[in-house]
Amino acid sequence: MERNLEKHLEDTIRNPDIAGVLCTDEHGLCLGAKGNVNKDAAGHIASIAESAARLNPNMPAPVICIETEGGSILIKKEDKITMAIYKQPN
Amino acid sequence: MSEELKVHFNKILQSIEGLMAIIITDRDGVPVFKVSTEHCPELVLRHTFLGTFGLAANQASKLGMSDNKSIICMYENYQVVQINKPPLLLTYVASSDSNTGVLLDLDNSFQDALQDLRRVVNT
Repeated sequence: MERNLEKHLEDTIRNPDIAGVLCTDEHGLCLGAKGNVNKDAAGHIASIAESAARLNPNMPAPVICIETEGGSILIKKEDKITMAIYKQPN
Repeated sequence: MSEELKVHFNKILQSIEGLMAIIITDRDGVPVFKVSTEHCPELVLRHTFLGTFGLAANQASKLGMSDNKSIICMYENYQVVQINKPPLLLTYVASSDSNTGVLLDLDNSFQDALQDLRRVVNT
C-alpha cells in the first residue's frame, strides 16, 4: 500500500546532499522515514508546518528552513501531508 | 515539590493546542498526579476510565508483538493517548484535531519528574 511513498522517499534520499526524509500526516503521525532522521520528531514537524501556515492564511503553505550547525531541515506542507528534508551541512 | 510540578505541567498543558488533561497513574489506574483544564470531560478523570487502559495494555502485550507502548483512542470530539511507562501509565486527553505525534513525544519534556514519580510508585 505504501510502496509508492517508500519509492519516492528512496528517490529523494538518493540525492547526495540529503541526509534523511520524513513524511507525516495532519495528526503528526509518521507515514514514512528514510535516512538519518528521528521518527519521534514527526509530530513537531507537522506542528511547525501548521503554525507557519497560520502566519499568512491567504498564501499557500510556506517552505520552512531550519538551519543548524549540523545541517538544515526543509519543511513543506501540502494538503494534509507534511514533508521534511534533512540536508547535510555544506 | 507538588506545587512546582503542577506549575510545570500546567505550562505544558497550555503549550499544546487542544490538550485538556495530563494524568499520571500507577499500573492499576490510581492517579498519582493530574492536571486538567475546565474543558476536560469529567468522566475521563475517574478511576473506572483510567483503570481500563492498564488492563488493555496488559492484554495487548499478550498478542505476541512484544510489550505494548501506547494506545491512541480517537473519538468524535476527543482523543485519548495513553502511554505505557512501567510502572506508570500516562494519559493525555485532547481534542480530536490536536497533534497526536506531539502528544506521543510529550513525555520527553518531563522525564525528570517521571523518574521521581517512578521511584515513589516503586516503593
